[in-house]
Amino acid sequence: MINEKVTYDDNMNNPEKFGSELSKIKKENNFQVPENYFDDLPQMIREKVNQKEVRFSFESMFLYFLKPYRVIALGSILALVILGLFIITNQEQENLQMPYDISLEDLIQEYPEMIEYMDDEVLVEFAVAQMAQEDIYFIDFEFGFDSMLFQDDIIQHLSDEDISEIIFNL
Amino acid sequence: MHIRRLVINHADADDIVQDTFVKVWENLNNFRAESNLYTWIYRIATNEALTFLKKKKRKYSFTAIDYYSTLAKTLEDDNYYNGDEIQLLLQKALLTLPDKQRLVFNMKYYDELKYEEISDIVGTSVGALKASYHIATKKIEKFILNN
Repeated sequence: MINEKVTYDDNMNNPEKFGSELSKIKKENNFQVPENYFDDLPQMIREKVNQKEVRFSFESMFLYFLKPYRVIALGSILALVILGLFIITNQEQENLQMPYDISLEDLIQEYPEMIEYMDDEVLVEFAVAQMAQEDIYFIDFEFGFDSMLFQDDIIQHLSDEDISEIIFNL
Repeated sequence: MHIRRLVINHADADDIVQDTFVKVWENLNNFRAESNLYTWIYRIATNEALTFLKKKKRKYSFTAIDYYSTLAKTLEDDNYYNGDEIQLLLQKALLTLPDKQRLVFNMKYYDELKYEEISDIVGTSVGALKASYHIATKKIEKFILNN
């Protein structure tokens, strides 16, 4: 039987004294753990922390980008990076072509020692590029042709002749 | 022991204890000294255990099996439980209570915490805790008498 004399406040504030049935039961801890459990626990927790840190780099990155707005943001950033790389690459190519806009005479006049360091192939390429850009017509050229020269033709002709002489005749 | 009393099974309690300390480790920077470290860890452990029970209940809700009846039965054969018949009866009685009532009962009866301390941990008013404890004891007494 439940002890009806036990009041609400007695019951709550003095758990040992409340209801007759419950007060008859000895308060004890009957839950046990395997041997050395608490000795091994810190190590197990450390391992779990380490595992979680490794998993963090892969799983959390994947989960992070599951949301559509993050995918859009990542896509936009990638598009901007690709566009930036494209612009930079084009600029570099333009920069590489810049020397061909300078006349060979000016270049040699400015840097006469340069001619010694430039091999024949480079000089020919330089001259050809300049001619091709300026649509140069060779009239009464010592080779005897007066039509517009195309780059491949020029290379073919120049390769067979005395390179340095041709260059200085330009 | 607080976690073990809630989830009963040692393996489950072990997982939750580890998860609790991992969370403590991860959130140590967020810990504010204005609350007691003991209370803070207690709160994390309680939340972890209650979340675990909620998941289990959800999982078992698709079956005809009552999760708490299963726990009570496993306790009988549990190698890591050495209570006598009356202790086992008390545990079975506790397993008939709603999780939060059982939580309050355990913290007051076994852990002998003050209502104010329990209130800090579970975030419930002292009055509500007192009522909850009172109802829990009545239900336990009734269960013991009927069994």
